[in-house]
Amino acid sequence: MTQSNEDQDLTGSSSPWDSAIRERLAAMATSPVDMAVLESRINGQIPNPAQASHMGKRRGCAPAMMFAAGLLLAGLIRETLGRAIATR
Amino acid sequence: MTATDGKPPAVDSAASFYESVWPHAELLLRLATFACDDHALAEELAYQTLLAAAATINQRGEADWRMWLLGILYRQGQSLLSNSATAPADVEAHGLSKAASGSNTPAGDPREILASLSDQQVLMAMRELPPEMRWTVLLLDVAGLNQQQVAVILDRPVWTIESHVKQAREMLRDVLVPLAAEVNSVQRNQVFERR
Repeated sequence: MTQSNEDQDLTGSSSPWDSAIRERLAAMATSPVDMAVLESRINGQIPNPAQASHMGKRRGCAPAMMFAAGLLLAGLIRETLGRAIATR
Repeated sequence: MTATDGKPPAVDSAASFYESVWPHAELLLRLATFACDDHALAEELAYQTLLAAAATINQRGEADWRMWLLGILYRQGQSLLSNSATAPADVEAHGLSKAASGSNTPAGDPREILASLSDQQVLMAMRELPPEMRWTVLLLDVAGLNQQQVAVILDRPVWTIESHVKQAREMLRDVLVPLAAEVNSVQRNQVFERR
């Protein structure tokens, strides 16, 4: 069997029209699909551990940042009050 | 009832799912869209396929993830689409006999002529094929598998796949060529009228 015959058998193609149809279908293989709904449904059933651990880190991070901001604010208030008392 | 019986898989399976299965989800949804007549059904097919994959991820025997997933998609599709009223029973019932082609073949480069058809028109022609032929063409031409791989997924001998491919392409040609001729004729008339 020649290479061209082998190709013909493997693809099932025997005419320029068959080749054109095959190429037309292959071109459609890259058409965009909207994954949003499917992704949301799958995430609802199978939570993504990578996202969950990321969220956990963010959740753990938030209180620490709030505490630091609180300290900063307290220091600022103390400084302002101290200056106000000193100027009297 | 879902393939997981409502229980999410264990975390290690979920990690494996997102690492190895999820990257193929777009291909699964695209093939499901090409195989089904409406988008909701296609989405359900892709969803059920992914859940079935997640449920059996630890018992996976197939080395190739894509082949394994396409096998699940095909089996899920068979059960989901077998009850669908739109699945054609046979070729003759849908008027896809060879008689339509031949005399109406337009002159010119087949690629350019087929390019004048919209994706939707090509899909409609595809959906006229009997289910097994449709899956054969989808797996071969859209998913890019070879005939041996398609034979494994459809659990048919390779010669059956060869025969399906030949018949399916003839049927597609019989529908698409006259349609392309019609579209080209309309376009030519529109250009003529503008002049």
